[in-house]
Amino acid sequence: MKLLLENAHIEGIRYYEIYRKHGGYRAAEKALKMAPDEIVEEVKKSGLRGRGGAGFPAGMKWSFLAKPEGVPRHLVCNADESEPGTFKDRYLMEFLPHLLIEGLLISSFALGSNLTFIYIRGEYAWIVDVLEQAIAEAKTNGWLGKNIQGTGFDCEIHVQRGAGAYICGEETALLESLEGKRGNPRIKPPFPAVQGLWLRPTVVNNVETLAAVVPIMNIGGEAYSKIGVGRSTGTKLISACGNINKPGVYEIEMNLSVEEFIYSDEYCSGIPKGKKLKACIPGGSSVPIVPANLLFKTAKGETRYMNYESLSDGGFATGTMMGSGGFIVLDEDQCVVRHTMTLARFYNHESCGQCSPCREGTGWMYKILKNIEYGKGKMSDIDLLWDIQGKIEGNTICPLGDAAAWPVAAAIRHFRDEFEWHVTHPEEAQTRNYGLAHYAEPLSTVTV
Amino acid sequence: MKFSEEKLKKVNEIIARYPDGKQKSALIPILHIAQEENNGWLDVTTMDHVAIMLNILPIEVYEVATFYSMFNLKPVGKHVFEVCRTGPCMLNGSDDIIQYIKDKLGINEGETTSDGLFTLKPAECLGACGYAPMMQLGKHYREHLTKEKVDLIIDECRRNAAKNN
Amino acid sequence: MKSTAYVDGIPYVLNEGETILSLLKRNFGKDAVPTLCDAPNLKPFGSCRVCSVDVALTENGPVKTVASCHTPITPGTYIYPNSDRVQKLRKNIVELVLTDHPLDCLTCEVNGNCELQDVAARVGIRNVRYPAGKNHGQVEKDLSHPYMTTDFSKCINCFRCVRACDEVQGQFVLSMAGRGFDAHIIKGNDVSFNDSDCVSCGACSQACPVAAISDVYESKSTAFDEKVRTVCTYCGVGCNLDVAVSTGTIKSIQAPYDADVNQGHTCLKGRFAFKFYNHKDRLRKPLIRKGEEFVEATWEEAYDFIAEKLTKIKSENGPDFIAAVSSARGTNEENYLVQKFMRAVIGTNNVDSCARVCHSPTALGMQKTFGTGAATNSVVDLKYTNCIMVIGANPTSGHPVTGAKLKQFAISGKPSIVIDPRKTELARYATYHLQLRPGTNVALLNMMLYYIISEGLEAKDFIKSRTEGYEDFKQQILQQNIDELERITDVDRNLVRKAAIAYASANNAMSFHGLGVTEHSQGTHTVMLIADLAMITGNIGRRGVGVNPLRGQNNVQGAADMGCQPHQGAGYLDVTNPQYHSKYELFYNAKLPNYVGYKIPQMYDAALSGKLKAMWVIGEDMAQTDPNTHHVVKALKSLELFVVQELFMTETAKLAHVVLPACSFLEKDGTFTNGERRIQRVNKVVEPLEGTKSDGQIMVEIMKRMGLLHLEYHPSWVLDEVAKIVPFFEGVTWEGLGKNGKQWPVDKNGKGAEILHINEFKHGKGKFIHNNWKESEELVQNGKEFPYIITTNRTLEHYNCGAMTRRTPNVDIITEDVLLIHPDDAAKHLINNGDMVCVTSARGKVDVKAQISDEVKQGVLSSTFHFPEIMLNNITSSFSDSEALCPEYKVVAVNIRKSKGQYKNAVVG
Repeated sequence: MKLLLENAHIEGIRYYEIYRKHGGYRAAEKALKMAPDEIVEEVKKSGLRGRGGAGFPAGMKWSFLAKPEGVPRHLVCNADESEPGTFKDRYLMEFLPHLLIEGLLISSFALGSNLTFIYIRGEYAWIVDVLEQAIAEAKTNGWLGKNIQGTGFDCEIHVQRGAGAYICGEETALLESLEGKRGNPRIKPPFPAVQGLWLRPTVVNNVETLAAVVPIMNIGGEAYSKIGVGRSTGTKLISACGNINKPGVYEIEMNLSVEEFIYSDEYCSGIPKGKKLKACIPGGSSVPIVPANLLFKTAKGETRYMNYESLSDGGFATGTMMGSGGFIVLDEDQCVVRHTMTLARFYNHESCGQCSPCREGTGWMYKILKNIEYGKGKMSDIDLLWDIQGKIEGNTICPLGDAAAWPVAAAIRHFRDEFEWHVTHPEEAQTRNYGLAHYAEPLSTVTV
Repeated sequence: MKFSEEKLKKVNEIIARYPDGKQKSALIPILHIAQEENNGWLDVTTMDHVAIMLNILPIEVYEVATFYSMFNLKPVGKHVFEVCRTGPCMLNGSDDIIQYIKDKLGINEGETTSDGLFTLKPAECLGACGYAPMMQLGKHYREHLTKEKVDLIIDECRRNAAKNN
Repeated sequence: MKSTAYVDGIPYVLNEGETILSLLKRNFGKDAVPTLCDAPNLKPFGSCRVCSVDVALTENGPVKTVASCHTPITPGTYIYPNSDRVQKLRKNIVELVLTDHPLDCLTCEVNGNCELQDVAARVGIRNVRYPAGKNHGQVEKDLSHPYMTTDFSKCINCFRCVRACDEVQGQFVLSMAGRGFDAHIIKGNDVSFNDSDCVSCGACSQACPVAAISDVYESKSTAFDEKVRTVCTYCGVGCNLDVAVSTGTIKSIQAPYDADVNQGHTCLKGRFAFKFYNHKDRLRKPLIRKGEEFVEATWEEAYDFIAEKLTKIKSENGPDFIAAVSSARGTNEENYLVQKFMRAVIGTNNVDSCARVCHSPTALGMQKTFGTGAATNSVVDLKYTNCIMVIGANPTSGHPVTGAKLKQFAISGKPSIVIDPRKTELARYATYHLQLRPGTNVALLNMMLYYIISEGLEAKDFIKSRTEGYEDFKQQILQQNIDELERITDVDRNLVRKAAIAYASANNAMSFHGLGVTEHSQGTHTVMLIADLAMITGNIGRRGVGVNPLRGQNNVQGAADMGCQPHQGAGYLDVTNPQYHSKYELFYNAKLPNYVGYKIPQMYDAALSGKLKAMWVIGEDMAQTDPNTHHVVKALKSLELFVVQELFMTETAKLAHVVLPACSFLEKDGTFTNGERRIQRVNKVVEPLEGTKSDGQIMVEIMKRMGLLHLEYHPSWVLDEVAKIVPFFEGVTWEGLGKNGKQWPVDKNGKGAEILHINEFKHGKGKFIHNNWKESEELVQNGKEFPYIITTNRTLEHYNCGAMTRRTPNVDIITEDVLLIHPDDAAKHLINNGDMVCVTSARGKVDVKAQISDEVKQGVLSSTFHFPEIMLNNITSSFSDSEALCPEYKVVAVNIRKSKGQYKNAVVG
């Protein structure tokens, strides 16, 4: 079942007329007739969880919004999609801008935001044009601006470009950036729901989360909550990439098995050149990498599904996380050390430099990984890496520290032999890869 | 340092988005425009000019400009190749693409060709992992890069430069 | 019931909203938890993570590590500040920090006083396990500035300097540039300290936990024998200073964090401008004039000379032919002795002090309205106020520490009103800047009062219960012609109205004023209107309100308190009141005059007309700083005996018959009273320079020479004597003052007062007194011929005549007096930046360098008189406040032209 991308294939759906013809703004029509609190209630009922990575229930986040007398409130859409492996929001905005705008309108109405921002990563420059075009159309047709559809509700949406900083995907860093400052995350409390943009109560939600409000309004919170499984309600966009035959953005119901997702023709269509699966990072680069033998089945031997609970089954020891749904597949020829090194370089590049464990620690993780990858490592470096990641995790102002630590931790946890091999085979390590870990899964049972 | 009439209009439009007294919020969008107006990089004069436009201190501009990787604080070539090299792109051969560009243009990462046409800027994940390997060129992404595709892009840039001269 | 939290299982009571770190420090001392980015005067920041602790919601429940500095405590939380996990974590973090910090501790400037060193030792680092890698070790030092230095190879990115610059001083000079590992501190646009807009307050250096930012005096070094706490001698803020001394010389100064007045902050004068104290120019021997020359003399010879002359003049002409000007830079005890000498030994009330030329109208105006001529509240009240109004003061230059606090208030966006002809630094941040024409304060305040009444914003209950004279006052205000006043002040009436409403409608509004109020012909009238504004809005008698003069000199409050004024004796008792007169006669056991003596300007007139033959001046350079220099010099030259007690050979000392070498505040004990009535102990840091004596000792010795015996001089017995005669000093004792002093009135139990007039005014009801605006006589008489108005001001870097600051490296920062001129005026006279401008007035002319600036409006000029090379007071007038005779420095009619000599050179060149 597709709720978000149902109409994505329709020619011209990015334009208002076509979007409207295919049922667009019907959810908004419905919502504007409701009381704002009723909308919040519907979203709560839907069980929608934040699609940016943390998976916090969206309706609950909304209900935390402080409403002091006379203080404006704001909704900010987090379109700073920067987690390696993730490109779903880009897809949504580029092809279905009106879906996002409709979702923003409904959410702004529900939260009482008359001034709403889409903070988009600076590199998505052309998408700014797409969104601004759509906003102009929406305005012309009375869905934005003053007295929207005669309800008396005013709302302006502006697109604000970032300028290249992963950290601005963290909501308080995003707000700092939106205020024209360095993207240094704020200490919490106070939380944005109390003091956010310009110290006013603010809700920050991911693009996909806000777009999902549209189908929730269309089919009702209750019906939405019945899609998927358990607390993983509704549909989820997965950005699939790495060594797969059909990379791209897929909308899935969260009762799909991981194995089916990788091997079914409907989704990734298996691994190129018939190679074997070595490992997978299913939720964006910061979540733990899992070797193939823990990917399709949990440690308990149960089938692993593409949802919040199942992916994290076994905790960090044998499981991983749903994260942002950035699904990265590594085939048998990939080097886990090198891959981890590029991720460590990424997080080092993106550390804001505010807190010392992250500023210094991400640098050292990259430096040590580089040494190991290039044959200059020592056995004790592996322990040192383990030590550093452990001191960063949970000990920084924002979650970037965790995001930087987890991939390193998981790589060592599951592929320690590969690290050791790099140390003991410095020459070979630079010319060929270690190959499959001994516990990797053989070929899939799903037919290609 | 002067903004064109058209850009100035845009600047004022952006400043007007924010509530009274919050005009500093316009800083990053305006720095983007300033950089476009100043051959792709920000010098101190340009940054000071932006500070005056927003009635903020110059240091407030400088501290921000140095934070974000899209702002260039040194001159860059006419075409900046920002080739992604993070995880998923690496898995799909970005290392080879970068090496190919280095060899072909005779420059290292962070350098500009002597004719001032090309700068190679290593980039970290640009959010196009499904279309790897890729690079950003100006406002747009060039995706599914191959050596042949890189050749075509370089030719295209050279042709454009020749046309504009 | 108070809520609790558990530390290692033991319950502790919580203060509302406190952080974990604050609870731990409160109960286990300031070193309870190691920290790096935390500092006593900065907001929690959470960047170093060294202060991390484990917390659990239940006893032995699952723990989570949080930074204790910014995490508020949830009641019932279990805190484990030193769990094994946390200890390992701290060790690892500090180890990471050390990978990018040079390990040259033994040769480091802050060895032994380095927070990183302490923390590293405490967490038990024995080795750094990381391989050699990229670091910031190659970053070069910045030694460009006269005071500030940086060595960013030692920086640990704690942001304390940036936060100190932003949160304490509000200068925004420092920031963090770059990102991640490349994040680094910059000054301005990544320039040197010298080229940045740094005001050298030193807050960053003091905040820096390592040696990344320091100063040329290495104030964080442990190479000193002892640290002595004393009080700054510059402005009326009264900063406490910790002075480091090594082998009898002063090494450096820092600001103590536990000082109530300055909480670890001070300005470049307090912190750095001390080198004058042993400057080669210091006077070291008494000098007696022989013709055109000074001849060195012994103290005995000098005393003999003076005593003989004074006795002769007293017996031949009478005691009223002798006058003294005491120093507001001296201690309370010294000031007390000066007036005692004049009254009890000489027998005259001719004693005044430099309060005359600064805040005499404040004392008078506030006495008339409130009954007490002193600040009604304290600076700490800024924490409780909702609106500030700053009139005729440039506190970020004149009173930098209070100025920084006012600036922080304005930056916070709370309503702030600045009334000033200049666009001062504070005005740039203020909500409302009423940039009036100089000399129109009274007109402007009348406009504000008009709007408060016409908008119905008076505090009716307060007016009814606490004041008198309101009905008359109201009628006079309502008769004001707003069209006329708007024209006179040149300030938009709507802006005035908005400011008036902001002041009147704030729950608590606090006013501050400076010499821009008092140094006018209507100075006293302006002060009374400020008092009226406070009363009409009920802003008196509680936290966060009141009328608060920013007293100019460190002890100008004290000089007046001690009776160095011709109409009131020690404790402000009227010398003409028979009851007080006899009280004083009894106390001093001497015959005293019962009529008012000369004020300073009257002394000059008396000297010129032969009615004054001897003057004794202590530490005041009136030849440079009093207005209308020609007039002053002529008067001083006409004296038969002119004694000057000084540190340096000032312009005034050059005119003396006898020059006595005095010693500085660093060389003596005593007390200063700051602008918020706080009596604080001044402690001797070093022995007096050989040959010099403190003013107090000189007074005791001359009194002895002239027949009044005292004990060997020590401030403690003088203070005891003061406590007996000055009612509001009743409970003051030398020992009882403690570290942070006491605010008078101090009752007999030693309890001071932060706020005055809580239940009633000193004289019962507050009195509304109205005055209409009147054009300054200077402009009436000279305005046509001299169409520009020059208003004098001060710079941050120099103090008054500059005798002290010009003998410190401050002179490398500000090298000369300049003339601020509006761009349009400059263009009109073909004046470029840096050109010499000839400024002429009815008295004379000076040449001064132009600095084109939008700080002044068209038609208004501004300059300083810190440098004798310019002698700006050649052009200022003898007009003064109609009541208190405070000179009108702020309104001088002048004309300007490009200086001919310079102009010729420019043409030729």
